[in-house]
Amino acid sequence: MLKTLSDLVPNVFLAMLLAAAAIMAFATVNALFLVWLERKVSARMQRRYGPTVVGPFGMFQTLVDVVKLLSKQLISPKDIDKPLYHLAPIVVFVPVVLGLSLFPIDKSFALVDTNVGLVLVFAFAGMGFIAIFMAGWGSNNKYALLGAMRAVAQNIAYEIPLILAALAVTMIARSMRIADIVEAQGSFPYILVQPIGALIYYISAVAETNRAPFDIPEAESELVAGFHTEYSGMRFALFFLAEYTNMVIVSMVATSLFLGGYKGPLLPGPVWFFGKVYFLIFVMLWLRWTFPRLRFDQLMTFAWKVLIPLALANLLVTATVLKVMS
Amino acid sequence: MLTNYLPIVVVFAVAGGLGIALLIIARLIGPSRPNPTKMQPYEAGLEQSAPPRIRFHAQFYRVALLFLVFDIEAAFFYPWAVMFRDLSCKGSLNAAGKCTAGATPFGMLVMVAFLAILLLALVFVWRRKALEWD
Repeated sequence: MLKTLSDLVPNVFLAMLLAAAAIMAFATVNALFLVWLERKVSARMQRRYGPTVVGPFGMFQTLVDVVKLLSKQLISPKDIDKPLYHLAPIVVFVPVVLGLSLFPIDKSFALVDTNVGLVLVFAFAGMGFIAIFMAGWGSNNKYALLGAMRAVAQNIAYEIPLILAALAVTMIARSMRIADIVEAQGSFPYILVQPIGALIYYISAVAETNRAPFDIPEAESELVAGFHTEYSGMRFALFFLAEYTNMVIVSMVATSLFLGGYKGPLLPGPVWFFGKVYFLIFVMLWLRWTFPRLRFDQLMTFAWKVLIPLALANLLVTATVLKVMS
Repeated sequence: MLTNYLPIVVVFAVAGGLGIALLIIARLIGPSRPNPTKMQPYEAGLEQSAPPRIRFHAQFYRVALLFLVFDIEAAFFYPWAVMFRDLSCKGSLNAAGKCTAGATPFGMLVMVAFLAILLLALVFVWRRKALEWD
């Protein structure tokens, strides 16, 4: 039986506060770690050292950066759309933190366990696009607006193959509860039966996180910083935090749907779960320094003309095979 | 059942609270020395040349419309995908997911009909070059 936190701690309210605190702590520490990792990995891939000064291997560099960001002036440019501009960092931050709570990290433990877990993950991911457009529209800056429009067009285009790829897994597992999907992957992970689905999912997921080679919304050589051009200090930090937490979420979905989640021999469940998650994140960093940025028209055509037909075909083939086998 | 979702509400509140708190802390400990040049929208060092809230390229509307169609389609796929193996079986499925009574083409037929209409639509917009980006 899957335990959630409310089963372990008798006082419901205390349990939920604990859970919220744990998730926050994880989101923060994870973002600090990932920013450091990104710098270190990109440095190594370019034959540099990366941060080395603060702490062992420069690990506390990002911590110092946070202190810097906290103590910086919050600049609000003139003629901004005040409510949108000020709300956007909060709206981008909250749903990614919510998304983190939905995954079973061990056979017997998930913070929130619902039978529509997968739907919720995609719903929370969808809230992020609204925040991006709020930021872009509210900023009164042409780079921000262009970046936001590209980001939204790209995200909605890649959301469709993402969902369709996940649905093929749902058909096999007969459930949208993430814990059920992981459990249904008895002795072999679904990547073996759904290789195309897994590939479609991963490509779309990288595009959803707006990372290279799909980082057109914030292509620094054309759009400065895209939708967060006008955000500085802590507001920028919230966007950054959300971006790195988003990488974790899409990797957690991929791990749960295609790589068997917490399953694996010998080592305990959470080790396997986070091992797989961080491996997928490492691949994302690796992609960034391997592939050049796509052009916007290539990006959109790829989604509509390749990924979506492929995902629909994958769905149809899955249905046919399941039909024949049953 | 609904208590399942309570933790989400709490996390929602705590996350929002933390976000706002961080911004307030930053406002309190950070300096605040605005001046007209600093408040200018960033435009690579130049004065803002034109109001930035320009008209979008019509292509973005096209993408939005197509997205609506396909996303609603995906929403219709959700229940079907969960129930597909049950819909393909006259009886109920056993624990291993095997069909206990005879098979029925119902689930497959329903979906193929739905999918065919959508694929037709995709082919149509493709042929009409609505997917081209210029």
